[in-house]
Amino acid sequence: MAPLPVPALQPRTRRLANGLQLLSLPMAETATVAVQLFYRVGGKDDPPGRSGFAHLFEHLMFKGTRHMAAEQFDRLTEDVGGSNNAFTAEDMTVYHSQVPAHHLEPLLWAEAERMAHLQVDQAGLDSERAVVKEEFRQRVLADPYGRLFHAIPVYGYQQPGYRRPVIGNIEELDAATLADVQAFHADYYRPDNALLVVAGAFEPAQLDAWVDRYFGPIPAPARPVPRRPVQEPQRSRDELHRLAVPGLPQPAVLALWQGPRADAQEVPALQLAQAVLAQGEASRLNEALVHGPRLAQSCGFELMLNAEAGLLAAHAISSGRLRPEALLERLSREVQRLAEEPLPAAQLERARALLLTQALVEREGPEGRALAVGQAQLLRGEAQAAARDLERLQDVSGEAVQRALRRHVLQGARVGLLYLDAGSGAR
Amino acid sequence: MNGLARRAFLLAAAAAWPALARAQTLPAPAAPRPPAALKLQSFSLANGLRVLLAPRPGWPLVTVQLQLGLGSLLDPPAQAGLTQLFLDVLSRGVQRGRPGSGRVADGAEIAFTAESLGASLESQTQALAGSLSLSLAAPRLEETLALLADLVRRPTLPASGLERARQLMLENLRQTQADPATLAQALGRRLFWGESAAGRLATPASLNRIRRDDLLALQRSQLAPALSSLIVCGDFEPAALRPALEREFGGWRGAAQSGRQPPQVQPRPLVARSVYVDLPGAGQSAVQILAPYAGLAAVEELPAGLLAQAVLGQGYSSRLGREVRIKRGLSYGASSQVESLPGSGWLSAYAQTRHESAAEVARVMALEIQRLGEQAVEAEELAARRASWLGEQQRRLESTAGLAAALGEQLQQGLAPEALGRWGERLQAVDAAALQAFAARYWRGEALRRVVVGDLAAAGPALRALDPAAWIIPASELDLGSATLRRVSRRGRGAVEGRALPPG
Repeated sequence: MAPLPVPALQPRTRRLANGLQLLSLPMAETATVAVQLFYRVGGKDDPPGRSGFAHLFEHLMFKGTRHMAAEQFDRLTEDVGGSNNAFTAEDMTVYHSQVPAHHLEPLLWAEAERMAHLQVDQAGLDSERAVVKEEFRQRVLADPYGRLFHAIPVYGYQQPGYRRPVIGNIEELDAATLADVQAFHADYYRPDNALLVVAGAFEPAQLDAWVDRYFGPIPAPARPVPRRPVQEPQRSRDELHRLAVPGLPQPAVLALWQGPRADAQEVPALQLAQAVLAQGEASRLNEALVHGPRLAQSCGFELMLNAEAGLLAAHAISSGRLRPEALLERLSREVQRLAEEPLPAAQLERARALLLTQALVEREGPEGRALAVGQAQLLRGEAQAAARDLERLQDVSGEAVQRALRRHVLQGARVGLLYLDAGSGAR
Repeated sequence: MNGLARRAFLLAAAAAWPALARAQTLPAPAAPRPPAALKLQSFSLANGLRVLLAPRPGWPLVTVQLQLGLGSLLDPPAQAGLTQLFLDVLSRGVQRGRPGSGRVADGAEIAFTAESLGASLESQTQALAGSLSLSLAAPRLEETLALLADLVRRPTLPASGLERARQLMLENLRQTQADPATLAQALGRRLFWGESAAGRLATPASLNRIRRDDLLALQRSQLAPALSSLIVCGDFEPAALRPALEREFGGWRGAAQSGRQPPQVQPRPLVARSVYVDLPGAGQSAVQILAPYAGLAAVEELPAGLLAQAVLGQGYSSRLGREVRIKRGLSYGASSQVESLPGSGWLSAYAQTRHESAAEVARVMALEIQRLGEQAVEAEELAARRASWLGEQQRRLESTAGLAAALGEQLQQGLAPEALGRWGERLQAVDAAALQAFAARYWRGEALRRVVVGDLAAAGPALRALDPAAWIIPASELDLGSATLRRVSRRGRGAVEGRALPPG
């Protein structure tokens, strides 16, 4: 078959005198423009005793500024036919909006406003804290398997930086004060800690002029951005844990190994391993655990690679046919088998095709394309990595896939978790 | 380093000095650009298969959707879930290769083949359609069409595949029962539509009644080119695609005349106005308010209905988002959605909250629904929600998958595909009075129904006070197939009030 196309992504790059980085990607085939502000601050920067703070803060960024009323951001996006949202990850907080192209200038003004002049009062903090606590309950407590995925960093990491889940916990969310909010904004929300990405329908020279006008005057403080480097020690021994929760339809298991940083050379090889194991109906884990002997209802294998440390996480939700301890071993065994036994070429090609098509789907529109280059800049150190990793994916051999898995899975220690129903007598 | 940073700051400040004064106020938007026209080609093959092509050269991606003459409204009363099961089994066995070669690909091989093209085969069951769709890199389009054609032309519908698909659905049902979110959504449908075809939910009993002969009968009656449509959107050259379409689908034969059309549906709600399901230990309560909505035949009313729905529950700034999330901090998100079916339609407003707030959320959501019929919406709010709806539609049409799905919905509803581009004009014609009239007609207080799933002890007496006649049912005793919603008939409110209706 003809080779699949790997489209280039060549963003224009600039850096303002105050340190703000700009990546921009003009696109002919859209009437929309995406504007994204990436701040280099995330869950790992939560202050001590304030787990969940970076994410709570993200919500507060939709409150008022010097010249904007609370929620005016919605007026400038949703109300004119656009959208806005934001997310907080371990290493970054990202504000992403889309608007019809002619609303680009007001949106840039508003992003600069909240970078420089955010104003939050006690009532705003309290109502948004209540919303975040409901978000915690919805994501973690209401879904019977919410606590399983919440447990991944808690059991996978050893140091506080990545060990504390980004969503935090109710007690520490309750502890947050207005003084914390002001200090956090001053520490991290500054031009030299931000990356602005614009993709879609815009005129490059006009964009540059607007960015100069609205972001140029924002001063970068003289003091450095506080950093909390994460140094995860090598894990030397296997561990096994149990977690019992109420109202569980079937048990589940989790197998965790230490993984590399997001910018490691072997990431494309591990992406292929992930796709071989867990992407699509015909993935190896599905064939071995779900379709054949029906040991699991569903299963997965994820790369959770952060800027300074990563995890490889496999999970399976039991069908009830096997004891959880045995299911954990079968799941782990399937991952190990990929490292040990020859990898059929057809399985590798299936994984390659799936990953490339997935990238085509994700990067079709302005929002996905902006996210791809922005995340590459923050996690891989250069925007060009977004397209280059896809090209490298085409050349990775089966042997390289196995080498990467041998290093992290066969030679690494495993943390196992048995996720059980508190009502069934198991502890 | 400090010196450098300071110097950089001074330079930037000096250069931007005149701009600083200007930058303090909100700049005005530029003049809008006209949206790109929708390029569509529509024709039928000799066997009646309708083909819609939306070429969009540039980004090497294509979405293919094959809509079949199926739909859950066609499920027989005792066999709810038949369409979904059929679509699942369809990709679990097919004759491939030359006709008569007898080579059969099983489900694993079919999935492996599709995924080796980079595409994941998605099957979707809706009230008015069943569809198979894939998104793929442009160079794989012809191979993908060949696979899709085999699936509908030469399925074997194997008995082993039926058992496998059934087990999967039964496991999913068990999961549903433990999650307040999915359980409330199923209950809402059941409560509002009741014993009409739209209220039938797949249950262990209904799934266990389905035999392979039922699948074969459905194949004979509904799997026909004249009842189907093929939609292709994205990076391809229409003229170059025609021979492949003829080659793969031109020889598809089916008993077109025997096809059944979906029935008209009217709500035949269960007797209760409120159903509260107790799920002790649940992490949150799921709250849903149901209300009537316009059916597909009410063509003139639908623009007002869509706009009323946008004001009520689409986006952060909708009434529900403002009142439940932003003002009161009661939920991570409150929203609503609508569905129009032949004969009638429904609105569902939904939020999750801590148990103690369940009654408050139910009360606020119901009030906001009714308020739209009592008070005219201000011009500014109306314009904002209209722009919001149209903008979201525009962005959806910019993606190949979104465009294919939107075209599919047009066809299901019997509307011209080209009409997708005319929503702007239709919504512009709706004023505040028309919106209020719509809401007043459909969203009166006595027409609303209410579902709460959560820890009822923690929710306290306020919930019962909203409706003293509410059915209160422990999750362990729930049977979604029964008209009383209870597994075992026992003395109690549910059984007594439900007796007027036949068992499901």
